Amino acid sequence: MSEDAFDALRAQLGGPAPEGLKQLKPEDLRDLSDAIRTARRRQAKALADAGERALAHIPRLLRGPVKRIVG
Amino acid sequence: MSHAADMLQGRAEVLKLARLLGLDPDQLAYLEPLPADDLRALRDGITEVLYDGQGGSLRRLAAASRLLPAGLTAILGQRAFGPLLSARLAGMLDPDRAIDVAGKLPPPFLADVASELDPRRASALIGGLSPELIAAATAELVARGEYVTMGRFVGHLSDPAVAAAVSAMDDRALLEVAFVLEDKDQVGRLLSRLPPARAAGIIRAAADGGLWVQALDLLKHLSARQRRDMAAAALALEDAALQGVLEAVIEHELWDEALLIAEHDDTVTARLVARLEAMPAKRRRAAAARAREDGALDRLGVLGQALAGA
Repeated sequence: MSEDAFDALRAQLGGPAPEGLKQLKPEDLRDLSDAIRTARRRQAKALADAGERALAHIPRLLRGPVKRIVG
Repeated sequence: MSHAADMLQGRAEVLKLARLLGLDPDQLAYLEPLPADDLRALRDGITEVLYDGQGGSLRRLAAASRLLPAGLTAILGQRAFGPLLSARLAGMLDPDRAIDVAGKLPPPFLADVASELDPRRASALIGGLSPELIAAATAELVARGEYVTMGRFVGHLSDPAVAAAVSAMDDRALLEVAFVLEDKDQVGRLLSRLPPARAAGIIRAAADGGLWVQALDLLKHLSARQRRDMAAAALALEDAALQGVLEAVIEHELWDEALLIAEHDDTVTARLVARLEAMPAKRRRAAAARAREDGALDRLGVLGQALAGA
């Protein structure tokens, strides 16, 4: 059970997690994984929204060249 | 690292992790007992995940922004990108251009961006910002209580910018920022030009805010002169405040830190010894075992003897 929770944390980090975190209870490991997942999602959405808003503010003449670079 | 030093660093790491994840530090209290090095590695891992996501599209957006004049980029930053996207882009722009853009931004927005920035990814930009701009942004960050953010920046600032930042911090902010500094070797740099009179202010701020853990941690990193000034200020406090120092020492087992004050006044040692002797034997034995493990018991002199129950 604890190994599962530790693996879930590793998955959120996309790589190794510090071994010392194995001392945490499974519910705390899960809480930590959830907090990282929430922060990642919040950030991805905020960045995507900001990108959309940015294009709308760029002068019409430059919008084409900028869109071609951003893709 | 001693148990006490690890506890202090661990506590600072939890504050930084909470800031990074947008949580209240209390929500991560379960992390505090873990080794500080593991918490630091965890924070580095989370930072990588958060700041490296969307790297490709951000790099393209940074490239596109080169087509725009700095003034327009600054306007876009505020009206469209917002602080999060601006912070990610800041580290990807040519530093000279980023400094030019930053100079056109109002301090409140700069403070917003600073809160979202990983300074390691924008070191050249931060090092090139004018002291005036740094002072203005610092004043904003102080007003918001963004101590972790300020602590992450100090190592990247020029000396004149550090001096400007310190002049914009009140005594409490200095204490809180010093506690969460990314690199404790920077404490001397942060406080090197501090007027001696501010030592009393910092100690007063610790007494008023119940920040003795932070103040005791600070003592270890000061020059002999600054330590003497701070210890004198602590010893000049009213008795109730001094009692607060002793309680923090005992609760967190900050024996080495206590010696830094006690070396200036024997009565502090005597009061601590009396408190230790009044402690429940089980708790005192556990504290003595930890001090022995750290190899500190002999070094602590009469305090060590009181801990060991001799």
